[in-house]
Order: sequence, then structure tokens, then C-alpha cells
Amino acid sequence: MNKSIKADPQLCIGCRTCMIACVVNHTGKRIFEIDPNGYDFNPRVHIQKTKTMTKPIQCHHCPKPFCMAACPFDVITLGKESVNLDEDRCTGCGFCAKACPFGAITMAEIYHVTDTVKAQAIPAPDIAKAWELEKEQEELNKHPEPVGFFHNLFGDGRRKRQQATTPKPASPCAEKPIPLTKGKFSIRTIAYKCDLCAHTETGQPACVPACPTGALSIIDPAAIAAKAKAAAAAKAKAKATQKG
Amino acid sequence: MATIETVRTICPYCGTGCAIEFTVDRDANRILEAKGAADGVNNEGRLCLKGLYGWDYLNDPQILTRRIRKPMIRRTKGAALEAVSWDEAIRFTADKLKAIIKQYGPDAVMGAGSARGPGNETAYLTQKFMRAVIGTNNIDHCARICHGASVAGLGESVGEGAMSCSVPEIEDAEVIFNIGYNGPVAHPLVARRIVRAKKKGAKIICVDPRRTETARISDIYLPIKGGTNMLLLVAMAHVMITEDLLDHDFIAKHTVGFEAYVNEVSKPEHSPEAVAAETGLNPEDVRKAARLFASSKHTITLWGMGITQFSQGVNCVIACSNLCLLTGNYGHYATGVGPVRGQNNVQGTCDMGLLPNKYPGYQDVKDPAARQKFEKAWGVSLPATPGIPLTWVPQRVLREPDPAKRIHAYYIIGEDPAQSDPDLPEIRKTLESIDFVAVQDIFFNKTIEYADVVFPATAWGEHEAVYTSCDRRFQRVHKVIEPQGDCKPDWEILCLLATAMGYPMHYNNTQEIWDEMRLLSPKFTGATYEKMEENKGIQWPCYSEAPEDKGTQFLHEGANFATADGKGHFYYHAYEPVKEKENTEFPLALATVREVGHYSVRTMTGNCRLLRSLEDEPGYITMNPADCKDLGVSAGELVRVVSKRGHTITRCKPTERVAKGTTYMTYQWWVGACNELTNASLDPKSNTPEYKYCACRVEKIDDQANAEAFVKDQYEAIRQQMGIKGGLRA
Repeated sequence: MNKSIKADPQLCIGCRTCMIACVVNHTGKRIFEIDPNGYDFNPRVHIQKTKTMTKPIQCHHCPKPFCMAACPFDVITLGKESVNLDEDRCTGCGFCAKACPFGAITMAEIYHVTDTVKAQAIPAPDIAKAWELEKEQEELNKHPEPVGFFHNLFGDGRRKRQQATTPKPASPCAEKPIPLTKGKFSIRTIAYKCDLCAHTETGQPACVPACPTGALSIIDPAAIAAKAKAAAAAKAKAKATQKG
Repeated sequence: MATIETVRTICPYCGTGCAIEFTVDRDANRILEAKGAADGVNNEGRLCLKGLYGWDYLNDPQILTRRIRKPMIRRTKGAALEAVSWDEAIRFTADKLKAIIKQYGPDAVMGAGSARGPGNETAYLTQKFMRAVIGTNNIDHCARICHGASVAGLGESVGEGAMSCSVPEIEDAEVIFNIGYNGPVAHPLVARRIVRAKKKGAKIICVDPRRTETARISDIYLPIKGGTNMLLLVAMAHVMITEDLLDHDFIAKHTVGFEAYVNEVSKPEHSPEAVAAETGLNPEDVRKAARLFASSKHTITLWGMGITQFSQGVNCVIACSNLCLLTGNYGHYATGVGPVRGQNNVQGTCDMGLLPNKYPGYQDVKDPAARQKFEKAWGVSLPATPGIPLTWVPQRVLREPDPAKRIHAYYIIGEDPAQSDPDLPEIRKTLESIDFVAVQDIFFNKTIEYADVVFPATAWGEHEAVYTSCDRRFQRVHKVIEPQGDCKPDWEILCLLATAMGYPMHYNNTQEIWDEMRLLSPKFTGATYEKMEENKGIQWPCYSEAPEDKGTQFLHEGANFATADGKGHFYYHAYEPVKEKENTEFPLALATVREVGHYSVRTMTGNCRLLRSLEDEPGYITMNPADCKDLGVSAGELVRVVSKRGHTITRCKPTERVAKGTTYMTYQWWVGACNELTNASLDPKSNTPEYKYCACRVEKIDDQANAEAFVKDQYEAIRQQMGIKGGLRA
């Protein structure tokens, strides 16, 4: 089961502290010492506001992720407790961002090297192949699943998509990192999504403690299950004592 | 190994008074990290984005402007500023001020104090300098342009112009009446209490023309037409009276003026139905709101600039207070009023008497006993007439026919009137026309363009001080890093200048200043440095130095009000419409609002890397999508905004959260400066300007590429003007 970060919309005040906390943790504390224009501001969480709703949008770490199915290059994988996107190998095609039903993946340009995004030369993706895949995906979108959203998310829809996108082409990433020049030219575009701060200095989600109202919390299914088990055991014990 | 230390201090942004724990690298003289201090009374270990990342300006990254590191003088008008020694700058200033006083008298000098970094000790010395050394009561500060109306209005109504409740109490309210207050943007850590109150089952009434975050979670949302607060407040009182929702016992025992008030308010023309056309509110919703307000003895009324920044600000403050008096919502835990102060120390600067009519501790300058006390303590004779508010400066410079009555010198500490005051074209003309302008600040700002002398001061984080939070809590502020360059603490600069002007002033540290102030102000006498440290702050009034007197959590206990007769006073005031309404030439209403990640004139937050990354020049104007469609402008497009007074350029931000016909801009932007447009109409009692209402027009710009280039050029020009060399780094 995957971990994820859950927001309580009633507590969210839309202040966007989480977005900054995300960038700081992924860039490292040196962010306060470097050239003020020497970093990328690419948060992996975004505050979405409509007329009546305000809430942080970030990766749900779905058990059967659409993004993974949509990625032509096998860059998105299921980890032990999260959905992982290998940014070093991401080609920036954007299929995952389109596939995510929550809009939790952002395509963003990188101008600077950071602690987590290592600079690598990325040859252009196989355009012909990508175009073919996109056509397939469009075709799929024309025939939506007859049942509801959740069926789509966790049910058959995913399998069909996965079939449609296999066999996957090998990732076209080069293996060796190349030196980078800082400048106003974009190094490349990649997909950004919440990685639960796995590759950061702290290794712990930074947005959760940063939220001024405590609107964010880590959902850890393993911990919840353990807690439920303990509660059930305590209840059973209490019952037994009562009988005794 | 680097020497790493932890310093606990208070945040320099907003009035919440959050406690921060900094991790500091002593060898590098740098802050490494900020964390909320778990023992912070109002923040309980949490911070917002400004607290967490807003200290970056201490690194002087030179994004918008740069730190002033040396004293500078302008030898003649129009000449360039020239770096000089402290001695020369002080002598230059003392000579100029003495000459002006000699020629025109002391009332030709105006002083504006700082409600921000310097703290209470400097605030006390600022007013002492103006009163004892210059010899005038012409001393004021930015409360005039924000919560001045609350100080005046609550003074009349209940005798104490401050929050009667404390921030943590908001969480335990049963009903929150939130009017003209956008906590989530202005005070995220006060908003935390509001959302937590909601979780605990409190009901929220939100009155705001915009659908704010508080409106979003409210139980009754009243989308009022801007400028009609008085109609709604009187209508609610009308419902309470006609439906008999009153606390008769409370009214009989603790109030005066009820009969006259009832006679007016109960008239049918004040019913919600009668005013519905003007307020735009459903009468049944107003009735429900009045019933809900009156249903609890734990109703807390919160307001902000949406009440005070109108030309009828003071009377609307009184009208809010009337509702609390009618329903017995004063004088116990989790009740009363919360005019939530904006700046970190704006409560403190009021406390310290940076007001034209008050000495420290709210002692009246017209009261002979108080005056004699200060005369004796300071060894001078003091003027008996109140001074002028700072919003009168343009009038006293540009339109005063008698040269002897004009303002000839303006001493400005930590303020930027050329950015923050309404009607900037007029302010610039004013500053140009004043004979002598002295500025004491940490950053180059727009006002420095007009300064004849500039003193470099230490910033928050570089000196010791006491700040007063919005809920009257005195808290110690500690030095986090060592200042760089030739800066001095503001109070030291004032001491040097006073001494040069023939009034020797010397203190060894801030505690000596604090103790002098304390002993002259009965309300604050008990708030010693030691007690503040021990108790995580002391809320005034605190009369006794004895350790048992730990201050006052909520005011007016047992409904014993701070007025002379100990009663709460009812006053009825007739509604007055806003001074400038929409018309065919300017069909939209404009109100100035706040941006959560930025603060005041943005010299501090504009120089913090991440806060700048979140929002940057030229800001935006929020508009209803229907208005955008009519104009043919879309999200992100640059637009020109024009009013009778001026014009500016900004980006269009359509949102359904604002009503058709209304627009909102934040005043932090230097390129998209909305105060080019605002109206300087003043409240007759508090002299607070009507920032919340003026008429404007939005124009589409066809050549977007050119407009984008213009904005970039403007930003670059500002940075160069502020002395940043090398231009924008790529």
C-alpha cells in the first residue's frame, strides 16, 4: 500500500506555504545562499482555488496509477509505498500529466541543477513513436468507460490503457551526466510530482510540518492498519475482561 | 566545525506575534533555518510562509532594493546622495532642523515613526525626540492609515482601542462575526484559530464583498456591497432590538446611551428589508446573522481594514462594538472585539504614544496632570495642543497658504509614504515641496528619492527590542545575527541627534529605555523584561511589578469598561456613502487588499528569494470573469488601470470570487502600484484614508509584447534607482 499526503480542505487557508516548503526541501538549504535567480521554483504541490473550494493538489500515489500506464518510457514505477517518477530519465513528453485524473503532475522547465534533479543530456524522444501513442490515447479517451470515475481509476480502464501503451520503447536517456551551464536557457522540461520528499535532505515530507493550520497529514496505510489492529485487539481484550 | 546556535525571537511580520526559533551559524553570521517555537503563545509551533522564509532579506540578496550601509546626505536639493560620516550626517540634520524650528517654530516639523522592525523602545524615543527635543506633538505613524479608526472608535465606545480578547481565545468562540477581515491572507496564524474554531463547532458569519477563504467556510456569508458596512451593522442592531435578542441585564448594568440609540435604530428605515437594495444582501440572511450573533455569550467580532479603511471607519467600529454591547458580548473569556492589527508592532507604536494626541500608555496630551508628569521626567516644557495626523501632511504642505503654518521638515523612520500612502502623485509633489526630509531606514525605498539625509538603521534580527502583538502582548525580540556595514539601532541614531540638538540623551541598552517608559505609563509598569521572558510575553494592562501580576488576557473583565464612567457607550451614527462612486468614465470599484506572501511596502519580502518566487511584479488586479469578458482581457494579460488621480499597469486575474463591477489590487507592487489610483478622502475622526473604495477603469493593452517589455524595463529601472548594480541576473 502506498503512502500519500492528504489535505483537509476545511483547514486549508490557501496561503501556499506548502509550495515554498516543497521547493526549499527539494533544492536544499543552500537556496538562501545562491544567486537569487539561481534556482527553479517548481513546486510539486499546488493550491487550486475555485469559487467555493481551496485545496492543495498533489500526487495521490494511486495503487494503480494512470500516469504509470501512460508513460511511454517506463519512467514511472510503483515503489514499495509510493509512485516514483525518475526525473533523471523523464523526457518531458507530458503524457503522464494528461493521464493524471487529479491534475497532480506539472510539466515544468528546468533552468538550474538542484540536489534532486541531476543534469543529464536527454536526447529528443522518439517523436514518431510518441505521436503514435498519443493517437492511441486519444482513441481511448473517445470511448470512456461506461462506469464511474473510480472504476476508471482502479478498474478495467487502467488495464486497457496499459495494453494500449505496451510494448513500451526503451528510455532514450543517456547514461552519463554532462556539465551544465547556468543561464536563461532551459535545460529540459520534465514532469514534476510529489515524491513524498524521498530524495531530499530531510527525506520527510516538508509540506506537512510547514502548513500553518496543520491541514496536511501523511496517510500511511500500514500505520493505519496497525492502529486498527491494535484497537480491535484492545476491544477484544476489553470484551474478554468484561465477560470474565 | 561551525558554531551553531538557537535564538528564540518574534516574527517581524504581521501583528500575530508568532515566536520563531532560528538556527544560526555564528561563524558565517547567517541564519540556517526558521522553525515555529512550540512555546509561542499565539502560534504554538506553527509559522506561515513569511515567518518560515521571510528572514532572507537579512542576507541582502538585492532583488528589489538593497540595504543602506552608510549615512548619506544630499547637500542641495537635486544633488546626488553622498556617503558621509555619522558625525557629519548628524550635524547636518541637527543644523537643518534647528534652522527650521528657529524660522517657523517646532510645529513646522512632522515625525513619522515605525511600526515595524525598530520596536517599542525606538517608538518611545521617537515620540520623546519629537516632543521633548523638537517641541511638537506632530508625531504619528502608519496606524493612521490602517487601524487608526479602531483606536479612536473603541476608545469612544469602551475606552480601550485594542483587541479585547486574545488570539487563542478565538478558537473557543461559539460564533465568529468576521467583517471586513481576511485573516487567511493578513494573519495566517490568526486564521488558524478561525478554522480550528470551525472544527470545534463554532458558527461563522462572514461579511465581505469578496468570497474569501473565511467566506468559503462560513455558515452565513453576506456578500456586502463595498462601502455599506454601516447599513448592515445598524440593520443587525435593528433586528436584535425589534426581535428582542438583547441582554437587558448587561445593558442596564454596564452601558449608557441605550435609550437614545434604540429610538434611532428601531426605526423601520433601518430594517434589513429597507436597506437590502443598497447593501445587496438578502434580508432574511441578515436576520439570521443577527440571531446567530445574539445567540451566544461567546461571540467574537473580528474586523480588519474592511471596516477601518473607509471615510466612515470610526463610526463603523463603534457600530460593531454596539452589537457586542447589545448582546452582552464583552468582559469574559472568548468574547468581545478583535480589530486585528496589521503590522508586527503597530499596537506597540500606539502603546508608546506615537500619536499626535497621546503620550505613552494612552495618556492624553491635553491632560495637564499627564503633561506635568512627562515634563518633569524629561526636564522640558511640553506643548499642550495635539499635533497633526500624518495624512494631513499633503494638505499642510501643498494647500496651506500661510508659510508659518506649513510643514517644512519631515522626519520619517521606517516608513515609505511614497509607496504606502494614498494618491501617490500628490505624495510625490508633497515630498518634493518639503524643505527637509530625513529618512531612517534599512532599505533604499521610494521615499529616499526625496530625502535630504538618510540614516542606515539595523533591521529586525540585528537588534534587541520589544514588540506588542495584536492582542496586547509585549514580547522580547532578540538579535539573531550581527549587523553589517555602518548601521546603528534606530534608538541610538535618535540619541545622537537629540544630543547634537542640545538635549543630551544617552542609554546603554534598550532595557534602560523600556524601564523609563514603563515607570511613566501605569498600564505597562508591571511588564518588565524579566517577566516577559518568564511568561512568554506580558499582555497589558499590567500595573504591578510583582511577579503575581501576569498581565491581562482579556479586557473589561466583569464588563467594567475602561471609559471614564466604567460603562460601555452606545452611539448611533447615520450612514454616509463612500466619497467616490463608480461613474461612466470610471465604471469599476477598486479596493486595495493584501498578498499573503508579501508585507507592507515589500522592501523586506521583496528581497526574500522564495516569497518573490511565489508572487512578483507587477502584481495583479482581480476581476470578475464577466468584466474581463466585456473588456476582452484574459488571465495573465497586462492591463492598464486608470483612476482620476493616476494610472498603473498590472496583470488581469479573473476569479468568480469577486463580484461583477468590483476590482482588487494589492499595494505591495512598485511597478503595478495601486496607490497611484487610490483616493485620499479621510475619515473625519481618525483621518484614515478610504483605501477600500475608489472608482477606476481597466483598459486592454493591444501590444502585449511591448507591455511586457515595459514592465521588465520598469522593474529594472527601479532596481537601478535603488542602487543595485549589474541589473537583473539571469
